[in-house]
Amino acid sequence: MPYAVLPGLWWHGSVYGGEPRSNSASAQSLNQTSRQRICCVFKAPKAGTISRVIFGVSLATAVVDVRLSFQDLTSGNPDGTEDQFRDHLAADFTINTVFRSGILSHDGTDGGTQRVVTHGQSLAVVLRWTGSPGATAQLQWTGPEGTPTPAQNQCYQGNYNGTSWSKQVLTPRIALEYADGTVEAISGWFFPEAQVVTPNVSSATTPDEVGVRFQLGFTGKLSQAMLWPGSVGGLFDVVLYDEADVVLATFSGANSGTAMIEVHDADSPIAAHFDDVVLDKDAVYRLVLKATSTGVETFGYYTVDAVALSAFPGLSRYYWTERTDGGAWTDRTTRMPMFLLGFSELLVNEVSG
Amino acid sequence: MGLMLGHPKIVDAGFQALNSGTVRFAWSFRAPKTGNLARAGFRFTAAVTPQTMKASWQDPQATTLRPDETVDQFRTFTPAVGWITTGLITSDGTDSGALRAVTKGARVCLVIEWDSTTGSVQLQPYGTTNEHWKPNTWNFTRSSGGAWNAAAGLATTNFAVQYDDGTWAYVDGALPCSADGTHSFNSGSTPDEIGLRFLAPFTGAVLKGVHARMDAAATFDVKLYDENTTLLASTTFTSGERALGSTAQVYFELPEVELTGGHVYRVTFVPSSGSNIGLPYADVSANAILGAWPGGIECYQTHRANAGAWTDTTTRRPNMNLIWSDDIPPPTSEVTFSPDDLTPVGLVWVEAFLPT
Repeated sequence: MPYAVLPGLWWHGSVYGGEPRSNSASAQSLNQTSRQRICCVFKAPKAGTISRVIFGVSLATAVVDVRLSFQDLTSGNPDGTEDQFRDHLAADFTINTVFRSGILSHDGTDGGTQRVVTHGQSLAVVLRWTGSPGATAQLQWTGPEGTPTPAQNQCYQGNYNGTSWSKQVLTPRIALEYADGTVEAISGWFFPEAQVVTPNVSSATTPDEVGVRFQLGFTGKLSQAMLWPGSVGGLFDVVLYDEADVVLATFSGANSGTAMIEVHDADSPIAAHFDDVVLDKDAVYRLVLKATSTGVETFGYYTVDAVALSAFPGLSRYYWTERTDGGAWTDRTTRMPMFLLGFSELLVNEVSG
Repeated sequence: MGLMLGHPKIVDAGFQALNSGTVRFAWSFRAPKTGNLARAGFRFTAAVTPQTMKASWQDPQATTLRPDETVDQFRTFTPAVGWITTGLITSDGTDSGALRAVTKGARVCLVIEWDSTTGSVQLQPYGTTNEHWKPNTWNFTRSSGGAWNAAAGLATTNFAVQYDDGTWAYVDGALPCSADGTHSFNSGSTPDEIGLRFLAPFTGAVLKGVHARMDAAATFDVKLYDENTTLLASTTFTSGERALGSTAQVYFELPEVELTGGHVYRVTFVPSSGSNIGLPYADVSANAILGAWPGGIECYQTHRANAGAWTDTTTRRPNMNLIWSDDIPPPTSEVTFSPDDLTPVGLVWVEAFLPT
């Protein structure tokens, strides 16, 4: 069985578009005046019956009751007919958590008829107040704020000011739960998460090793790993373990005073080089940032919901892991590490046909 | 999202003046593979007073990554506007001197400075936009009599290194280009279809989509063809269904098609109206330098007019990325068994073990 060489590396992980999202103030929230409704227009990521909508809540101030609906499009905007809907109470929305709607159906109940879509079919999920919002009311799904702002073809936020819709060059990070239980991100670029968290790690903290526990869907040679954000204050190793905690590779880095080593700034990743380590399909590995001094480093994660983890690359097999003083690992499926793995070669059946 | 090829954005037109104020520039990078470094390449955007310059390999200082100021290997050259590929960079500055041997991952500094007389040039060592995708290549400048300072360290870098086997290898975060520009084209242009020509890396590879940083200001199709120009997949981007900035990053999902390894494919943009779309591109001075780009030397621009014959430009890369499915066909398991397990059925089992 041959290895296919991948010039310039192929990347896999949770960060696409050059950099991860950062937490920042929202300018695109549902509010009382200029955005009385917001929507996300998308193309159905697969054919089937869509049951629920999942998104992170990045802003929830003086929220009142809300309706979510699926609507067809007119000139790329919602047509105003709530084909399937679900009402939610204000209390259902909590900032920095992942919201999972009830079943959207023609009568707003669990037993109503749900939305059936073909792959690639365009439609909108619309968010509007059903209560009476006060002047300070704001509700926002995660995504269309901060950086980066790459967009997916015909997948975007729209804002309704009471008179007309305006399209935005922004893509909310929304996922859809189908009736078969699968969860799909509406954008191939962004995934449903609620918050960026960047814990400090040093040799004196608990934990002192943090990273990603992963299983690949293929066999490949690991040449590089990038961990965001790469703020480093001391000595550290990036360590690759197998399931039995055998160290497969170690990359050492440091920050010495004002001279940053291996990391440019807080938005750039720690980049660990490896000598084409073979990682086997389905085997369990851990790639972690291990602080080896009292200097503080950071490695971040997105807050996610375990239900929606399958919408991320890795299909529920990438998530956070941590331990202290070389003890037992604690794995957390509600955290998605911000990382990419760079592969130089993949094991395939046939390189050339 | 599947496996992503390479870098989202080509270099922008930033530059670094080298004159009596700033006299040296350095890239601190990791050697992309084990071997002997032979030459370096980089781009000048101005050569006002092109005095002789020197390119050298130097060790990095242990704690700062900056050059240690000891010229280990060097070569002089005359700067000129455009791409410069140095001669062999050796211990004595001649073709017969010793090259620098490196191991994969070892950090090396490439230093550009005046040889003896200070002139005035503009080096284009990096882009102007932060890109956060160049984690291991640093840019440093040094003023006359001063210390090394980090210079625009966040930006994409523009240089390349050649090994003595003739290959230009991918340096983390570097996108070497000798020139760059933007194709503005529509259905009435010549060409009216521009895209990326590439080889499928293995049989069973599935192209999921294309990522481009472009001016998507009009309606167009994204098309995937095989080497016979049979249309395999397409999607339409409809202008007006969304608003896009002048150079937005856009991801176009394509219907999934399995490709055959080693065969040529083309993915293109085809405007369907007289309104322009814009597709940035980067040029290299030789196809071999695309070996330093994600995708390698078999990944370059293709275009045609009125559905005619293709013209491939082997020294140009449009600003497009390929996104591949991570559903890699599982390798066929090797079958092992003892002779006792064999049930002879004519010659079939014998043929199965003949050398091929």
